[in-house]
Amino acid sequence: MRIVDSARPKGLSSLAQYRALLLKDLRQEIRTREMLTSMAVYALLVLTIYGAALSQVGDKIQVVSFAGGLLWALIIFTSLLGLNRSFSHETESGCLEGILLAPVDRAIIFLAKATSNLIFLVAVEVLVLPLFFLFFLSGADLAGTTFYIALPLLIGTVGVAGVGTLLSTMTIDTRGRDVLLAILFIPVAFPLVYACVSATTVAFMGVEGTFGTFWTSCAVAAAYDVIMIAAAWGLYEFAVDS
Amino acid sequence: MLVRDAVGPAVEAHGLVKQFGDRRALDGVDLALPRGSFLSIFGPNGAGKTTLLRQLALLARPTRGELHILGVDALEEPDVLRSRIGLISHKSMLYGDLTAHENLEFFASLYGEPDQARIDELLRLVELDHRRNDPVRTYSRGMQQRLSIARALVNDPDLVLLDEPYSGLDPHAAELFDRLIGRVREDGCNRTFIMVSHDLAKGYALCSHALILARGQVVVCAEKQGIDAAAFKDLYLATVGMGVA
Amino acid sequence: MRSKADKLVPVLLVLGGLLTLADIVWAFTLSPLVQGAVLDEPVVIAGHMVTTKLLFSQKIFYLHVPVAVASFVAMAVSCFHAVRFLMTKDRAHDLKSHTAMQVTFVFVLATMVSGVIWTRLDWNVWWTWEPRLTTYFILMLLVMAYFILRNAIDDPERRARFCAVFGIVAFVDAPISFMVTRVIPSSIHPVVFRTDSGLPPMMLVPFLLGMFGMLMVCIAIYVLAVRVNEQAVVVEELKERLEERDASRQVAVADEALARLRAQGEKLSAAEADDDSKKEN
Repeated sequence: MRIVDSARPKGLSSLAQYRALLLKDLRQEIRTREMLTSMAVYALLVLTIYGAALSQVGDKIQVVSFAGGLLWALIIFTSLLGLNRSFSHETESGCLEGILLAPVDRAIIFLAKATSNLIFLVAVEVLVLPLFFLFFLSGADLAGTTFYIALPLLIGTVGVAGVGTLLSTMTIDTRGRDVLLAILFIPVAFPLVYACVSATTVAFMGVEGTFGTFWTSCAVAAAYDVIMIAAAWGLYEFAVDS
Repeated sequence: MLVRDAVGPAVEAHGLVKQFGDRRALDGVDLALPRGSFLSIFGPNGAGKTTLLRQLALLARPTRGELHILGVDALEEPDVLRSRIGLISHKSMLYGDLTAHENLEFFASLYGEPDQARIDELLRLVELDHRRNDPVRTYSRGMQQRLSIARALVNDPDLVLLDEPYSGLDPHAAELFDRLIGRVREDGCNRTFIMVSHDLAKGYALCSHALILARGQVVVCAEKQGIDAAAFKDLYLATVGMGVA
Repeated sequence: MRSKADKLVPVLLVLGGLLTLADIVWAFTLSPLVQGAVLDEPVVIAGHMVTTKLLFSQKIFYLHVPVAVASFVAMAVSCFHAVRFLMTKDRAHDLKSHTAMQVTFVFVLATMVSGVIWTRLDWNVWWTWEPRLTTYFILMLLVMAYFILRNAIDDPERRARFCAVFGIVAFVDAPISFMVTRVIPSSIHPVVFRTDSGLPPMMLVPFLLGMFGMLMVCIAIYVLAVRVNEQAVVVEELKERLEERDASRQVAVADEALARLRAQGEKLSAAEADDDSKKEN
């Protein structure tokens, strides 16, 4: 009996399983482009609404001072759409059960799903960010520190993908799952968004002497990521198994 | 292959209970099944058939009781067992956007390094070799169900579980499915099969052992050889008539 | 155990109520008025100048903070039972976790209401995204999300499991959001309140009275609520049993049928065993 166990070194097979799960998600997405297309189009629509919302302010308001907030609102709403879709392939014909049948550590399933969600979110951000600059910041004088926004964007997206994966797993089979995910996700993600908006805004403004806040915010956001992803990692088996 | 010779019956359960609060889905189920047998589980809706199968597939943990599968303690070492169990369900458990080959390769890689020769062999077995590179979405229901047999066999399991495999299959597809299962049974691997089905005629024709479950309890569990088919049918109809109460 | 806790409930309620009352009376009579908003310079909030004048509304501090602490303690209890539930899968822990969350909700609501009154009286605004208010707003959303999740799942086992997971996540999230809103200063509003431990005795004593009083009330409410919820479960079970009794004939028939069927089943197996032994012979 032990032969089965020893023939398959645990660590090695976990890595292989992680890779298989991740590649499966990527391959599927490359084939259908379902998540990327819907998220990108949705983000474009949010930008359109921003355009209407800001159409009456003219040049009186410096968009740069709240561009960080706008950007994060865009990211959160777009992520919600993507996270809701991320498990649709798994439940469509019971595939998640097929994965659970195999000797896969539940935390590996979480990690693979969170990684694929992260990749898709980053891809959408890369697509949408230039549009955001084009639409709203093309006339503004950008501070030299603008490129620093990449750091809070990355930290924030990691946290969104981690927490979002846990919560979207729990809402797969529930009534009104789209709304439910938002109801669970937004208050849980609030501290992360708060910190990331702060850091992003500091980077956009580029005022001398405020970068202490930037680093504090990034550190707090990173701490959030570590704590929440650790919690999600530990709790995931209860969110998928029965 | 040493694994296959490991001692112990295919399934041995003592006093399996699955309950939450006051509700008992399984109420003290005892079960003993020798290797190489084919057990059909019958019973009315809500009798606990699917719950029992989920415990055997290690998708759920019983609240109380002992469960040994293939001589291994299922509650202590589920991961050792998981690589030796396959499940065919009425849901295909296949990704519609991936091809047949990709699906099998993916599920195989969850159990270890995928063996291409075995995947090819399985595709030939279920007669889908010619469509191996088509996305599963384009398959008919019957073809998907055949492919899901291949999917369940991808880890060369010693215990194969079938959960209402006929639902949604037309008679022709069901016949093909039966023929395939028959072929798998005779492949010399001495696999054990456990099937949950509503179809008394089909389930009874296939099985070597039969079990009737009602209200989470075993009404009868016996080898088919010794049972009078008519008496068994009456018994089954009586339990179905009894309902869930 | 059960009766002991139940006997304590009225005692706790009365004592807690008295202590809280003492706190309020003390706060309004003996405690000095403080420089409510401890600001380095006057600040404009929503067009109103907030200066360092003596603030009568600061009195709410004696009630507001104990209520807030009590709500957090209740949430900790909920989280504890959530963890216990995931470990044991015992429904009693789910009930306690759920109950503690209900108590949390009551106290969070009380905190929100008192907080809103506070901002109105102090700064002449109904709402401001001040750290403590923000934290409690998020806490309220988390608790509401918990109940919405509960309602969205039918299967009791899954409901209990998912709610336990979310309860733990929420409990981890709450202190982070508290910390985040404090560590990262919002550029628009200053951090106005400071609960320095260096309170003068005239303020500290009533504060502590309120603290203990409110915790006692919290415990009493919790114990009561657990009993109520337990009774609700019992009522459910009784209802089911009543329904069964209405259908007692069917059940009796079913039981009898089951017994008969099992006997028949045994006969079938026995016959088979006979067959086997015959074959062997």
